[in-house]
Amino acid sequence: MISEIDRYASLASPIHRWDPRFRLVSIFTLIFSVVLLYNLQLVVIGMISAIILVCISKIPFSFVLSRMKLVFIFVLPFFIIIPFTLTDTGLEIAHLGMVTVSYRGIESVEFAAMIVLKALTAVMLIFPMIGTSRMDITIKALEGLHLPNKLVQMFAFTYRYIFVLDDEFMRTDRALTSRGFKKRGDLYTLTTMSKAIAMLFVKSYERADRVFYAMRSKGYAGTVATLHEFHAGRQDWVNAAFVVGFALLLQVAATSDTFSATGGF
Amino acid sequence: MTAAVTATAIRVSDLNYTYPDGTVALEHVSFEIEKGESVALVGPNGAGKSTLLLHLNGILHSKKSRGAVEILGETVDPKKVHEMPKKIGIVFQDPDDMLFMPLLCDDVAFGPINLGVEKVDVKQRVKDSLERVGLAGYENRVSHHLSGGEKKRAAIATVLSMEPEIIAMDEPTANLDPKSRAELIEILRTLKSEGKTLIIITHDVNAIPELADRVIVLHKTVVADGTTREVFSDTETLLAAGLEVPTIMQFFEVLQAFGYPCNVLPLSIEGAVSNLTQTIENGDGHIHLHIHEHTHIEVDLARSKYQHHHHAARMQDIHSGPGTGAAH
Repeated sequence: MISEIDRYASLASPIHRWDPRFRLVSIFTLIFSVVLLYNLQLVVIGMISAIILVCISKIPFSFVLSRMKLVFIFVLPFFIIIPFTLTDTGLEIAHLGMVTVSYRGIESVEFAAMIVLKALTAVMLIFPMIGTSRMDITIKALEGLHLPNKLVQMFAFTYRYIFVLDDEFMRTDRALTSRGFKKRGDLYTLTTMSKAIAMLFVKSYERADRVFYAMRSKGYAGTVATLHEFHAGRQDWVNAAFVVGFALLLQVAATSDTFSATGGF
Repeated sequence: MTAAVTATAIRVSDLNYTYPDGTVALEHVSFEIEKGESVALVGPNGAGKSTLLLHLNGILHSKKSRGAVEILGETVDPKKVHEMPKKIGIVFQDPDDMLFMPLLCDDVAFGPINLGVEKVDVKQRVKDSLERVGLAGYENRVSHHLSGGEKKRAAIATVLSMEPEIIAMDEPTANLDPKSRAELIEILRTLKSEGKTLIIITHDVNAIPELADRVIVLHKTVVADGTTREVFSDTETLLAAGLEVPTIMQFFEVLQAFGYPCNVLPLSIEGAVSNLTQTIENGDGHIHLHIHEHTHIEVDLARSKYQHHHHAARMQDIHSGPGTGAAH
């Protein structure tokens, strides 16, 4: 099943009340700022800010963590790859069997931690960024931010039809199962699944045709407009100033000598 | 309806279409539909009904179809498809194809915005259209969370908001539960009574007497075209096209076998009620049914007349020599 990131969009919190256009731009700036950092302490501070934002948004941490699991599994290997592929070990401290401990090695563990934390922070920030309003509102906010119309249409259609495709695949899957198909690790499973997926592509292609016909029948001539109107108030600007200010502060701090680049990389 | 300068809503003259793979979909299709008429388009699966519908606003077109379709007196120009919704709105069979925007109000507003209607008016049209299909207050609903019946009605609202003169629908009552089907028929009846020109593709023969004054049978070409009664009386053509007549009509034919006096078979429940009332009044408060020696044969004949497998068997009997069926 497609997990719905906007499951908690109906909660009431300062972040939910924040004009989605401002929220998108501000938190996106913060994500960028954290990703550009090269100092572990500052990344930790960024992570704390992400946790605070999630707290304010009232989105349950269990929900956030369960969605972050996959990202964590993906970035975890850095802890192994970076320290154990170090060629220039520098000053060595001890030898434990096949493993050599060195200062440079410890630094590289810190470096790996920084990369992992950065990734996790960026993903965590996505929840207050787009998990606090319904996806359709977020898409309209993109339209309100004057993103290229074609891009907005792509987002909108992806969101609209991903559920339809998901259902369609689920039906295919059930049809396979009900006729005795079992997923195994063999070639037969692989060919069957790839045929099913290929059929899904063909079906999507045909559906795309029909949707396009429907759009043309309703006078579509290239652009999509909606009636939604956003009204920004003072609080929206204050929130934006706060988050963007913090993002900039992180960058200013990164240039000072107190927070030098972690690991000397 | 205003006294029409051009009384013809749809004129199709010698329309041909072949799919890119070479399959012939439409062959020499010609018919005319007057303004305010309500026409049911019936035909077996793969008869080209949906293909015909897509030709009406120029979405599908080919060299062979050039100039073959006229809507409200103007030839359909495939380059001006986006201007057609003012004249003709098409409701597709699968509402998921029609509801492509994030929110229902966006879908309903989509057409009028494209037609350049003022924002204030668009809002009003969205409200009115949703109200007319019984979805008042559904503006901010997400379409993929609606039920099947709601989706069907929402798809109609997205067309109503463009206020077209003609509305063409592809199987509006298919795949609906009885209540949703009844609601949908009611909406279509209202549109009909408002004088909209309707062209409705359907397999739902029991709904046709309520919805349409006229039936066109399409099987790659126009096989039959006439009033609902005329077409339903032509059993041979209907069966050849793989279709059937309303259940009520079949039932009254069975009643005839039991001696019920009935010259004109009723097509709908309404017709049946008035027919029965009339007969009872003529019979001094009674209707008289009886069973005599030939009754069961006549009943069998009446029943087998509309059944496809019986029909096939009967045709074989006729071809293979004198049968035992016609005993009177």
